[in-house]
Amino acid sequence: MTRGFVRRSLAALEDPSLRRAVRFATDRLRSSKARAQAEFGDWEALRRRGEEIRSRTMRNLGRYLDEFAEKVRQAGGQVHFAADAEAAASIVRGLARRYGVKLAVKSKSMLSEEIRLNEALAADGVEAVETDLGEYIVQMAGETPSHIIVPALHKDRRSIAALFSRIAGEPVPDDTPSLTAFARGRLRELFLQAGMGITGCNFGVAETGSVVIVTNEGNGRMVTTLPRVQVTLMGMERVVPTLEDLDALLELLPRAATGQATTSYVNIMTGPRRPGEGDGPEALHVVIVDNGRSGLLGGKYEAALHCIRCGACMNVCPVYRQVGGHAYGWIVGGPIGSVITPLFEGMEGFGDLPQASSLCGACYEACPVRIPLHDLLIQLRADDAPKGPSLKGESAAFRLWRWLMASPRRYRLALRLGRLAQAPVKRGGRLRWGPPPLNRWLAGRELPALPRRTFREMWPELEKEAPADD
Amino acid sequence: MIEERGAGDLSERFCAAWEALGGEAALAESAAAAVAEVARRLQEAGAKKIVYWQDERLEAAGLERALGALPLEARPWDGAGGIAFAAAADAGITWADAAVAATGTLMVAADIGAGRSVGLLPPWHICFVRAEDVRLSRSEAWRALLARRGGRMPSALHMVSGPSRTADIEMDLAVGVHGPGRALAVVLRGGA
Repeated sequence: MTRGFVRRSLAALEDPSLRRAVRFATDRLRSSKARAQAEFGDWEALRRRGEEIRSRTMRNLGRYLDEFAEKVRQAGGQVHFAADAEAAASIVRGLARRYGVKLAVKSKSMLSEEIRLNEALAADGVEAVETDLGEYIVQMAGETPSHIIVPALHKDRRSIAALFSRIAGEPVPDDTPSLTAFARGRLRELFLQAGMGITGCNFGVAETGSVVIVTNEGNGRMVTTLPRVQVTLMGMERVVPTLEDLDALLELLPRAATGQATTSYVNIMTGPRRPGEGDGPEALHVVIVDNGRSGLLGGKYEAALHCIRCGACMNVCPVYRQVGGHAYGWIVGGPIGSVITPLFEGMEGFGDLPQASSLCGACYEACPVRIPLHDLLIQLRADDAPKGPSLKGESAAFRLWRWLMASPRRYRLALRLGRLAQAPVKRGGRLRWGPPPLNRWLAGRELPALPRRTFREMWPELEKEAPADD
Repeated sequence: MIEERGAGDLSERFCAAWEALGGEAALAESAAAAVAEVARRLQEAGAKKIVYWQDERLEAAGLERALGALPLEARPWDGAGGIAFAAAADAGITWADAAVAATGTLMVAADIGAGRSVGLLPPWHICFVRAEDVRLSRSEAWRALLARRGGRMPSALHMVSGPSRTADIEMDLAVGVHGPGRALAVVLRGGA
């Protein structure tokens, strides 16, 4: 098994400015969410409704997808189904060729990263530019997003100003209005020139055949207003049965993501522009992507498909909050990333991600659709277990442990030996050193020493003081 | 004309929510008063180029006449040829079919004469809505909008809540990153 997560997180742990930025952003998002939940009222009832909608959708996914596709076609759009990442990317490449596109502008789409669309288009000489401010920063820096809501969370204003100054060929001041204005001017030109707008899809409404995009910046509107062709990438699990169901999910998503009651813009697009309309795409293509999702339907990991990509589980995760998104090695980090990455990308490369959790369950508590993330993580660990222990000597250690724990006499003896053994390294009730692999753990943490007397040793006296049972 | 904010009704609740998101709101007692208020604000801001929807409600409110009296260039949205003008305009004027009081949301639907660009490309979006079209919740507002349109969703329905915003740089809030940085909602009471 690779130890990729450990390697990548060590790099993150040694970067104090990254850790400061991650802590600041996740604290902010988390407290905003808490406020929004309190203002909403019965948040728990809404969460249960969200869970109900998502699980009902998964149980009938085939039917809802058929209905959605039919309604998109009725509205004048075209629907493509892609079995895997390669098929999805090649559909979009084909569309770019067909419409003679050289420049495409994109609003945020995690799925486009999943299918490596930018690289695929670049191979055909088509430039694809990210237009979400955070995604634009990350793309220009040649990096990848570190948080699904705040992609450039790991970058501070000084490094963004340096990056923009390099692009501009002149100094760009590092105050937020200047940086934002620079991106606005730069991207405005591209919106007006681009032949294709590529979007993600927060929800696809089966009842109406509508594609729903939730944004704050308005770039989602730009890419669906100006280019002649709109291509919407939609994971097959994004479908929502009715407008009424959409309404409930629109209450949950922005509150869970940023603590907003609503984002600045929610765009509901039904087909391409209609006869007589002066803007909006002349052609709308919806690419519905499977890429491993259907394999989870009906199985023990189906709940992983319920995710509405709000990022709330990351903001509360004691692991994510220390290491940030890049340590997870794929496009989605945090607890949900630790679940879906091994499921989509394989246990071989990412089998260690489910270990990157204290199983505290904060992610489940934060999840707006009640995905039992901690249970899924345990299940993934169990699935991974037959491959054997991850550390040399681990099984011997556990055999010894079992032998000691199986007999009260041996357990007592072990305690006594432990007290003797700890004497040289004990200081102020704490252990200052331990044999490998304990020494690595102690390098950053404290371990309380064994007490002079354990509860078991005190019990004979305590028992006499305890009131007798009736 | 522009009335004092009292306690209570949906229009006032909408305005309060819209302003809390960083938008500007005005309540007007008549269409004429609403248009006059918009003209006053455009003049005050020194706007030079205005693009507006070809919409019977704006027409009935006398917008064209009011803009004609101002020292600025005002053009109705006339389709694809109008994109360049809209991109250079100081303000774009639209009309919302419905609004949500609880969240401060305007429901702006694309249509013939009602271009998506108008409320998007200029740095200032001015949007009218009738008081009777302000509903408490999103689902009620959807129902009202669909009823008006014979049950058919528009090609693009933009639910707009305040100005364009981002917090992508160090979680520091900035407005107007791609869409309008300034957003004025004008609520018309007492019919249009």
